[in-house]
Amino acid sequence: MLFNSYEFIFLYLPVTVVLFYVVAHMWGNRFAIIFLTFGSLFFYGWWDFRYVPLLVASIIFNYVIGGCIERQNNVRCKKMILGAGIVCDLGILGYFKYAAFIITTINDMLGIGLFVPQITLPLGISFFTFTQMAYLIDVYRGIAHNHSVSSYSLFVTVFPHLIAGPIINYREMMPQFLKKEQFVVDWNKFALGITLFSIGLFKKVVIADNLALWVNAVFPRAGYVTFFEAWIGALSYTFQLYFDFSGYSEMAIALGLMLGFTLPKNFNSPYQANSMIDFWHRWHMTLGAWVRDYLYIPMGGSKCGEIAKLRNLFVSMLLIGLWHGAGWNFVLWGGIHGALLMINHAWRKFSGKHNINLPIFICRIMTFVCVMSLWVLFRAGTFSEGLSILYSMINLNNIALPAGGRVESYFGFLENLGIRFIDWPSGKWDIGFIKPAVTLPVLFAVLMTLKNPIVLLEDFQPNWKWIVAVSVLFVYTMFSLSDYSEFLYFQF
Amino acid sequence: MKAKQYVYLVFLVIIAVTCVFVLFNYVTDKTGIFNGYDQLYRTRGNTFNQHFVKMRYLINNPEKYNGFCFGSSIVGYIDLDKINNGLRWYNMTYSSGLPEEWRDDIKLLLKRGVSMKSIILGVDAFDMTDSPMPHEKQFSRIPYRDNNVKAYFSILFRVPNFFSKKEIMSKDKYDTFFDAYNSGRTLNPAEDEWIEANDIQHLRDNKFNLVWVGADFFDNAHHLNNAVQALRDIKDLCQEHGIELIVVFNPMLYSTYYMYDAFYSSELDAFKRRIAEITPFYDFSGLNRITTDKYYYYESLHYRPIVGDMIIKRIFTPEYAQKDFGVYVTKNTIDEHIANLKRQMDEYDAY
Repeated sequence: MLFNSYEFIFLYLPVTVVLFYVVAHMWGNRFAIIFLTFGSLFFYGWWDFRYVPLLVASIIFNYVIGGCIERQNNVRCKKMILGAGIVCDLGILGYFKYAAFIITTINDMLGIGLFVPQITLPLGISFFTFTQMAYLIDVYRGIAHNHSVSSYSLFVTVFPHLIAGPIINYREMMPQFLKKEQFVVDWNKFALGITLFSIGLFKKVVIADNLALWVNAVFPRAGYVTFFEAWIGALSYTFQLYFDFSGYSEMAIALGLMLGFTLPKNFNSPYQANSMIDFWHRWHMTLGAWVRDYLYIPMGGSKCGEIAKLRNLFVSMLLIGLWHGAGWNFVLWGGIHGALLMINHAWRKFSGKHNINLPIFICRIMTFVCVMSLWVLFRAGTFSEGLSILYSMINLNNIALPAGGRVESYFGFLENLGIRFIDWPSGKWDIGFIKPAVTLPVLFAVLMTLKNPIVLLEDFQPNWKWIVAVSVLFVYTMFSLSDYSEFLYFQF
Repeated sequence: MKAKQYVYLVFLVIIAVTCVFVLFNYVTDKTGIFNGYDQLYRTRGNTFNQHFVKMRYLINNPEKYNGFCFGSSIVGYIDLDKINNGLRWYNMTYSSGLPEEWRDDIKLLLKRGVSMKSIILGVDAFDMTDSPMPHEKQFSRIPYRDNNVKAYFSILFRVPNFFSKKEIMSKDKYDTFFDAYNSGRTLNPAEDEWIEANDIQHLRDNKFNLVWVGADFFDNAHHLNNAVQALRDIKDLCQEHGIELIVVFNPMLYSTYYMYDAFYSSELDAFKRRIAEITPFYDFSGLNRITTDKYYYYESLHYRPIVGDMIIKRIFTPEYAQKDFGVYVTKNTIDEHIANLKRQMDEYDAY
């Protein structure tokens, strides 16, 4: 079930939220937790109920392992139990997500023909596996404690974050589940929640899903696109990914607020980053924090010398790439990000030593261009298709505008400068020209300058302006729900 | 303002505005899903959802017909009333109809007790390239299902078009009538009259320059396997229920046929071979005196009722045989037939 669906907005959400508070009021917090857990399992099972047992089994397994770790006094045994837990978690994730990829790679490398299984990737498996692995490690470190199975189950399954994050942390969430006053309606949080939900829903449905139409019209034609088409595709995907994922994260946070919980922020205006380092402090922040706390720092972090630090960074980014998808293009994407981070660190050191300060807007544009170019590789069907689009973006000999219509009538004089006027793709490949030419720069300006909704709402005060704004956003979005829709992070 | 008051006011405003919009969409619905007409028409905008309306009509009148012709809008002009075999025929044409959709329709109609004795399938070349998935999100093509709550929601909750013009019936030659509650046919009487009166102008019209090759031209994924499987499923359903199945490969105007030969030649041959493996069929495509004459077509895709009459005659009147129009193909003759089509192409090129 997606947040941007009729059944969620009109049925599941109101029923679940109301019943959650009613159950808490009538039977106490414990029953409210159990109710919400089952409600979240129902939410998960709406996609495919056959995978609910997998989720339940994963929860039970990790809860038991966590308990064993906590009760064990011998450090070596603790480590072995933790190791077993991590191996099993990664094994399950590896089977569902990477088995086909690994076997295909072996087949390609060795020229053999091993059977490649077609395995459906369970929804949100990366998210709930990483969440639970972090819990096991925190229990091992002694900074998290094994509470009741019901609280733990809710921690893993609570539906706002279950299928697409943010990745939540046991230490941050558990105190919220245990607070007695948590299960009474906090009207301030609720008001903030419905406001943020409307904004997130609008970003996802109205902006991201409409950008998807241009993206889907350009990328399949990677080898045929002209200069402007390539830029339209690249920019559209860059913005689509942000509005889609950040919109969904904001909806998740908003739903948490409606239930009285505070989920962590996941995006902080990433395209306003002034460097690649800064970008990864703003994009998918919970994944970055997870990798930092449970991979980068255990590998030594920045404490084992400069070379080791850069190595740890690079390896972390490779794994972030692999987390996004089972394919060499994702590994490559992560690896290039890792390389850019290494360069950034080296540059920081060098520029600091020699007191070199580049203007902020140049830093921001360079960062944006790097990130956008890598998103092209991320989205393209193959590496060579990605390169085709990137090449088209810089190929000044392939600049063309649509023939006929207003564009040629206004800009026909550009033909003297060598710009061709051609039949623009039509039908399902029709991206137009004027609409993206106006929309994309506006979105670029917005993303470069405005605060993101979560920052904007830090000083939220209920008033009539917000009532009108929320109502307009929500109603318009609701009436756009039937339009074409795809969710990009659905099966990670 | 207190937060609780804010929450209540937001809900109140949203509910009030939503009710107004939903009511507006209900009243102004042009798909036919909420507002039925005795005879629906369109001007140049295509909004009537034939698929949905016709399925509902048949399910509500399960005994009214027992012979059906499934196909895209291309078969819409076939006058099935000219079939004199005692059956009550209905033209189940709808825009961009595809084999996977026909299969789902037939399954649902049978499930709901609609009487079926004979089915004609009008197959098109784009059946092997086009997926029905996008239709789920197109108001004029949303299919009718067992549970249509989502479809109703989609219509009621679409962005209201407060500026849409009221459709006015006129004698414009582009006015098309959908005889949904009678024969199921598509009727274009004004345009047929115009063509007869202005045949030279018709033959020179620019509308013949638009050539359709199928929506998924740049996608590598072909839907040929899906289309063939759907046809196989339909054959199995017909066998199971004792329904006569007649498969027809629609005649393509030569310009469209040329385009398929240029880009999809081997796929088209493979498609026909696989159809022949499932069931014999009448192939009206290829280059013949009908498909090479624009007189018989409205534009590059849709043939006129006169061609539909010839198709009916070829199938149901054994003694009638257009020498080169409508070849009966079986799995034993498909290779020879494809070779003949290639020869036709070479002869036509030479000519």
